[in-house]
Amino acid sequence: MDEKQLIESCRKGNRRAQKELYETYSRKMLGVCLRYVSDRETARDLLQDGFVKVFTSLESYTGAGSFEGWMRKIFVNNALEYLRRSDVLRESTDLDNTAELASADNTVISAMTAGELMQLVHELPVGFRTVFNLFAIEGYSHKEIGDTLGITESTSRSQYTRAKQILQRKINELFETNVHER
Amino acid sequence: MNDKERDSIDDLFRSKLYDFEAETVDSNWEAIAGRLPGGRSIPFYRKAGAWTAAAVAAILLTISTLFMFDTEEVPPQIAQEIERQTEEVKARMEQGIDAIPETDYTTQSKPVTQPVLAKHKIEKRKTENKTREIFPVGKSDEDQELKTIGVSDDERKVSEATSEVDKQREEVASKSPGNKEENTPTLLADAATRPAEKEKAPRRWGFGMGAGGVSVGASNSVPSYMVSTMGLRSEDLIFLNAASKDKPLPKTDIDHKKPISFGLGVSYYLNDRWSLQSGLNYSYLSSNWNTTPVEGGYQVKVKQQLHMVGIPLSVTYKIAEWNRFMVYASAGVLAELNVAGTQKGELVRDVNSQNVTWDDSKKSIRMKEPLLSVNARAGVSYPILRFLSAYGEVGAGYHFDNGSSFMNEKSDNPIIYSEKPFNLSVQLGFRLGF
Repeated sequence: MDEKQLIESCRKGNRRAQKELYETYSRKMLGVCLRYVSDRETARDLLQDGFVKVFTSLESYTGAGSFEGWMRKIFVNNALEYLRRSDVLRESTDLDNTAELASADNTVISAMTAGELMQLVHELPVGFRTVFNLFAIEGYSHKEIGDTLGITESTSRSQYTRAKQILQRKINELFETNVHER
Repeated sequence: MNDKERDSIDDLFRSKLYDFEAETVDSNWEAIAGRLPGGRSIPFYRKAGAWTAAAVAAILLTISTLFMFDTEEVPPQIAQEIERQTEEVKARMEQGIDAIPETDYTTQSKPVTQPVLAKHKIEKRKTENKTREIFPVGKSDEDQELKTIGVSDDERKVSEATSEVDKQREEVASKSPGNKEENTPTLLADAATRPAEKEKAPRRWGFGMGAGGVSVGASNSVPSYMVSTMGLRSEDLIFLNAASKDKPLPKTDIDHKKPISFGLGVSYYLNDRWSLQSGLNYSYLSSNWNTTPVEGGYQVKVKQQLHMVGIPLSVTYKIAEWNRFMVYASAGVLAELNVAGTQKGELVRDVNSQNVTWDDSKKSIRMKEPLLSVNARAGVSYPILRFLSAYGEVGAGYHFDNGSSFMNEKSDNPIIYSEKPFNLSVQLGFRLGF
């Protein structure tokens, strides 16, 4: 059954088709959820919510663009709804007091596994993590992030900068630790 | 997207994390399927159990109803015969014919069998001079004079009554056909029956209203367990834990309040003991849960309230009645529908932080699937006023899983029956009867 037929069967409420669609995309969508919430249980809940929304709003998928991209937007928006009322996102970071850090070596990052990078992202404060996910990975602009999260563009920019600095510091620490161990 | 702000680090993260995959568990799909239209797939054994219980209840109701309607009082043969004879005698007397005809048993299709009656030999007691041996006062012959303690008078009275009874019995015996032995005493029950009193039409319908509020049983509190589904999945409720990202999720304590219910009832009396009852029931279900605040985190408090309206159908059997107390037993089914419900969430920032904010949200929820349950009760009622009686009942009930998320204890809106489908209850209340 190709994707079109699968989607059509899901629209009709065919449980087997829905399960097949779930099994095709569930791991990837769980990865999306895990990037926004550090806890696996919460991520699973977001996964369930997201798939329920996918199956109940299949009629709105017109076929324009990839189905995976359409699903991914639903899951990202679902995660953002979860974080929407966070006052932490409104806190602005005083960039003047932020020390400049040396950029992490790209080769170091390239050598790291996806799991290790995910762990670094998990260690970010939630506000920083959200903005970093939206900007660096999902490809949102700061204006779009501001509109989505209800924050100003400058706040989004400062949150992203702070996130990058933290990540760079952690990567440098990991690198230095690995060098010492050798 | 502003590409100028993105650097190589961003690209590296994107390339590695955009398609990052994580392993899921089977329970994820089951939870999703349960929330999709069409309901959650219920395990076969639960379906079979539910259908079996419903079939048993239906069969019991049907059998008891048929049995009750089929039950008719069969008058004893002897009474029938005597009644027939009495009618004949009356008719003959009215016509001036000899009252007691000669009965030709050979023409009777059914020979009248002599009823088996306990035959008592009535001993005529000797009075006055008869002494009754009660207390031997001595061993010598002279001392064999026995005392009677006021027995003679009583014996006289008894003997008089007995002789009167004897006369009546002899009269009856002479009238009874086939009784060849004239002196055979028979019971008074053989006497001619009195004309049947006009039986009052049995009361068929009754109306009542009852209320009950106290429900006891096993503890409904659930020990704390991982939370996120409870309050945080809701669109309006968020949990953030900026400072303690490495700590596990805070836990919640779910507290399901005991259901409160009352109803309006109508009874249809099948006979003196059995009755069918139906009516309208209202139940109020309330549940609370909250998260345990962690350092630098938030606390979410959720309160859920559901209003259920149901139609019960039960069979009641009056076990006994003593001194106006009526003891009864009842069994039946109840179909309920959730007519309204709310879930209110309260987001509280940790008071240890400098900013303390409150965020309330309230949304309407409703269980669309009907909720079926079976129950059995035993109770006592006592009439207080003409139309008012007090009652107390002890009962047990079982609520079947209807596939709704409300019956899933891991969902974000569980009710008490999701964790405790079987429950005991004690109800106290008042009934109005007309």
